[in-house]
Amino acid sequence: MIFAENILLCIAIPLIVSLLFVRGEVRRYLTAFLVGMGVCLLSAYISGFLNLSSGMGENDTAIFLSPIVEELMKLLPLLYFLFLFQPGERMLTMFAVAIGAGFATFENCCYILTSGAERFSYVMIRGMAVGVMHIVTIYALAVWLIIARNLKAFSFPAVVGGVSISMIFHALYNLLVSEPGPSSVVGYLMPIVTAWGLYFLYRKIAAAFDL
Amino acid sequence: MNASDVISLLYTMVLLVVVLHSIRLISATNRSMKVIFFAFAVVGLALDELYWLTYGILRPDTRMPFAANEIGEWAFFLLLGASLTAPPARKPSPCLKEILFCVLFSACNIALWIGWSGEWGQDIITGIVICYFFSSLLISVKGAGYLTDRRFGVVAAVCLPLVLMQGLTFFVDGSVKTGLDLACYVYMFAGCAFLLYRLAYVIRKGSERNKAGFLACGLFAWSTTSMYMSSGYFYLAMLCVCMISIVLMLYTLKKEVEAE
Repeated sequence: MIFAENILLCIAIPLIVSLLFVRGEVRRYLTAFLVGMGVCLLSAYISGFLNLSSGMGENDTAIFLSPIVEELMKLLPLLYFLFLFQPGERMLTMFAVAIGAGFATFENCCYILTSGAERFSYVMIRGMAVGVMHIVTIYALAVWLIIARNLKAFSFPAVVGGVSISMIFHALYNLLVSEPGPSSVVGYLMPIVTAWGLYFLYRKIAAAFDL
Repeated sequence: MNASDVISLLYTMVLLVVVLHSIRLISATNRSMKVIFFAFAVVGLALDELYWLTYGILRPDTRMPFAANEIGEWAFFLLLGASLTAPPARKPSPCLKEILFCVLFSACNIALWIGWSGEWGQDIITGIVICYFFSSLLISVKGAGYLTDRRFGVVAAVCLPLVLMQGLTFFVDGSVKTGLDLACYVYMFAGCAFLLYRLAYVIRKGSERNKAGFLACGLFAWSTTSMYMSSGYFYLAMLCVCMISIVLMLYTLKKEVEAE
C-alpha cells in the first residue's frame, strides 16, 4: 500500500513554490500540471470506491471502469477552463497537454513506488505508453472541442461524444495491456502511433480552420 | 474462427476504410461540419468494434462485467445526432409529436433490452443516446421538408407494431412464440429492404441531395434497432446491413459535399 496523498504533497510543494517565481504561460502550464496531478488522485479515489461498491475486483475495475472515470475527470477542468476563460486554441491545447502530463506523471510515480523501478526497460515502456496515452486522449479531446467551437456546433452531445471516443480509446489500451504477450506490445505501441496520426490529422484540420 | 468473428473482422475493416476515406474527405472539403462529425463518429464506432474483437481474442467465452465497447456506439450516435441538428440545419418549431414518438419508441426498446439482458444501467444510457439520435434525425428530416404529417404517421405506424410484436414474445411460448419471432424477423428485413430500395431510387434519381443522406441514416437507425432485437445468424445479417448503411452514409455524404 502507498500513501498517494503524501506523494502528491511531496511532488506538488516544489511546483507550488515555483509558481511564485514564474509568470505568464509557464505559470499557467504549471498550474494545469498540478490540476492534472490532483485529478489523478481524485480519479483513484473514485475508482477505488467503484471497485468496492461494484465488487468487480481491482483488475476488472482498472480495465473497464477506470478509463471512464479518468477521462471524465480530465474533461472537467478542461471544460471549466474553457467556459470560464474562453481561451484561444493555443492556450486550450497547452492546458489540455499540461493536465494530461500532470495526470500521467503522478500515476507513473505511484506505479513505480508500488512496483519498483529496477527494470529500466519496463519503466521506459511505462513512461512511453501511459505517459503518452494520457496526453493523446486529452489533446484529442481539446482538438475536438476547438473544432466543435469553430464550427458553431459546440453542444452537450458533441462534448459527450468527444469524451466517449477518449474513453473507448483508453479502455482499448487498458484491455490490450492487461494480458501479457503480443497484445500488450500492440497496446504499448498504440499511444505513440496515435500521437503520430493525431499530429498529421491536426495539421490537416489546422490548415482547414486557420488555427 | 466462427461466422461471428469473421463478420466482426469484416465490419472493423470496413469501418477503418470509412474512417480513412472520411479523413481524406475532410481535407478535400472546406470545413464541412457534416464530414468532420461523421469522421469522428465513425472513429468511435471503429474503436467499439476493435474493442469487441480484442476482447473476443483475449478473453474468449467470458462475459464482460461492463460492456465498455458500447461507449464507442454512444459516441457514434451522439456525434451523428449533433451533426444532424447543428447549424446550418433548419429546425422546425413544432416538433413535439416527433420527440414524443422517439421517447416512446426508445422507452419500449429499453424495456425490451432490459427484459432480454437484465443490464439496467447500460441499457438505459444506450436508450437515451439512441432516443437523441432518433429525435435529431426526425427533426432534421422535418426541417428539410421531407417529413410531412402523413409520412410521420407512416413512420409511427411501421415502428410501433415492431416493439409490440417483440413485447408479445415475452407472454407467449411454444410454436406461437416461434411464429411471432419469425414474423418479427420478416418485418425487420422487409423494412431494411424497403429503405435500401428507396435509397437506391433516390441515388439513381440524383435530384434531392440530402434526401439520400437522410435515408442512409434512417436505414442505419432501423437496422441498428433491428440488430438489437435479433440473435444468432439474424444478428449477423443485421450487422451486415449496418455495415452497408455506413458505407452508404459515406457515399451520400461525399455526393452531398461534392454538389455543394
